[in-house]
Amino acid sequence: MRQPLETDQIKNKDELKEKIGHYGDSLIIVNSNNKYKVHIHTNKPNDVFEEVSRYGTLLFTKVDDMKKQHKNFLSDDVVDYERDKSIFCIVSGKGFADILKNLGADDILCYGKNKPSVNQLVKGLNNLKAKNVIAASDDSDILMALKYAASLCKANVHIVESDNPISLISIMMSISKDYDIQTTFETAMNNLENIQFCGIAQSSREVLAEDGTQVHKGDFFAVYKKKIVLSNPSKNQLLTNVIEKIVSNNNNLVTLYKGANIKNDEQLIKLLKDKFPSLDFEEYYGGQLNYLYYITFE
Amino acid sequence: MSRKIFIIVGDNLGLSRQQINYDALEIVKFPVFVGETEYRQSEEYSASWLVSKYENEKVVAKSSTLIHNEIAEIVERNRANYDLFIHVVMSSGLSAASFRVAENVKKQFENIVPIINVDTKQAINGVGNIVLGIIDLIKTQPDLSIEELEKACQQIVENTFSWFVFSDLEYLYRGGRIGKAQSLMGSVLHIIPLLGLMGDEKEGIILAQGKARTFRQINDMIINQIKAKMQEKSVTTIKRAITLQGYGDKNKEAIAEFMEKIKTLPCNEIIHGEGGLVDAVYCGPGAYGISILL
Repeated sequence: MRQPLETDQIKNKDELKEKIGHYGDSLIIVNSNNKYKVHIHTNKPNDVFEEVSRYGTLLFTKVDDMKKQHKNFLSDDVVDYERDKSIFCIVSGKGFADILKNLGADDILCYGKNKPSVNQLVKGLNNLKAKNVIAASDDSDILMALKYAASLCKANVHIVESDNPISLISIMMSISKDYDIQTTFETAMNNLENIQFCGIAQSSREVLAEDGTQVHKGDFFAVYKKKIVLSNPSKNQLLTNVIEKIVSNNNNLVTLYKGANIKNDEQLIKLLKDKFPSLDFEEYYGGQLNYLYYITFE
Repeated sequence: MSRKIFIIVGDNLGLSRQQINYDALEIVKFPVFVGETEYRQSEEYSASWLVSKYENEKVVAKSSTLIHNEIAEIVERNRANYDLFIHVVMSSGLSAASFRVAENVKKQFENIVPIINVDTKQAINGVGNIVLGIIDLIKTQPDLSIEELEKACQQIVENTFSWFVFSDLEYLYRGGRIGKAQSLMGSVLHIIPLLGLMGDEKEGIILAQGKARTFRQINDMIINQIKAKMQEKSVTTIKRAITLQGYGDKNKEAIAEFMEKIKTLPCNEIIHGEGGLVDAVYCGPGAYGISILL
């Protein structure tokens, strides 16, 4: 890892060496006035950042996976990198896969009903033939497998810890192909929650929500910020109630992403437009299995 | 004694002649083709005329390069009365041919009268902003040498930044002007692309600056990017902003909201540009945007 540090609290290189030397080896410190450039091999990069931050301002940081570099160096496998960076999205719904591909994702693993195995993820990551990969999935349950796959594949994988397809759209809307890998990753992380959304599902059992809302078996319910916020036996009434509850003055576009199990209902958008004439409505096929609809408010 | 300078510019500058307070200037009209027929900007054949044709007749329009002889004729006609010509040319990254024509005219008059060709790295109101910036320069620093003027013009180019919102990128695409923004075309999801021409970028091509789902988001994005650019350049006040609008009634509300938002920017002068026929070829209905000179 490398990190330029600007500080008035450290007098010389030896003092800095004393403070961070025990975190690892191969320590190199170069300094000019109150600026120090530090190179160190460590298993605890975050601890080093935390330690040096006490004494001054970190101008920028760079962490490389040395174990992976070493493994790649020893390996007989030859990878012909075709790209410096790629965006890899892992989603359940075919509709979301198409949307993300169109928004610039380099490859999509569309897993449908069954969550992807580590092998599938490694294959997907290696198929990109990119030196650096930004990987993000629509389900937090995939995260562990993705982290393991990242350690097994050749590329430097930066995992964006997303847990829904709307965050993936948000990421793709915020990044540019012209960004370098670090900027892409930081932008992705900073824009994960840009789009307000809720999910609409049908209950398969009796549920008592955190706020006391009773959801009966067969009822439709809305999940907003990971909590059940509304329920209703009528899907259309629930959609109306949700929009009334969540839409604010800042919103003028409501988008419905239909799940795989939703039949075409041409009347629904018309009904909503009549009910909320000041809002624009758009409808797309998401193909997700967990929710009947994802609804976004922009 | 101050130098007598004549400015030549194509009519893709997002300004009308009345908006430019400088006598020694001639605007050369780009040939515009709708189908096989050639048109030039006039009262009858204006931006709104073409936008209406786009909307009602689904025509395809293109523009051609400025004609060498027309520019040479302007120089020939005026060279007895002026010491120097400045030809302000649209970005060579967007039209290499236009810059080549300008260079050929310069060569033709080599040893007869000096000509500075300014590669603006801009189009539409960005070109207009650079023209007005150069006029300010001529008026405030009349004694600059040709070399100093050339250098100062380059600084104006590097400090001019433009953002465009086009409802439909097809018009840019058909005209071969889309550059790296092509990646924003053909999305399943309805997105509004934000495009830009940044004076500090070497290539002078249209770059994708972002994308959004609503005009409110895109308007905020422009304002934030302008503020970021000001911060990056350590500038507290915009010298001049020229807006781009008026291509039909499409996006009227979004444009009105944008015009309100730009009033919040610290800016010495805001000019509401009047785009011409050739600008409309690439903008299409409902386009709007802003160019700033820092």
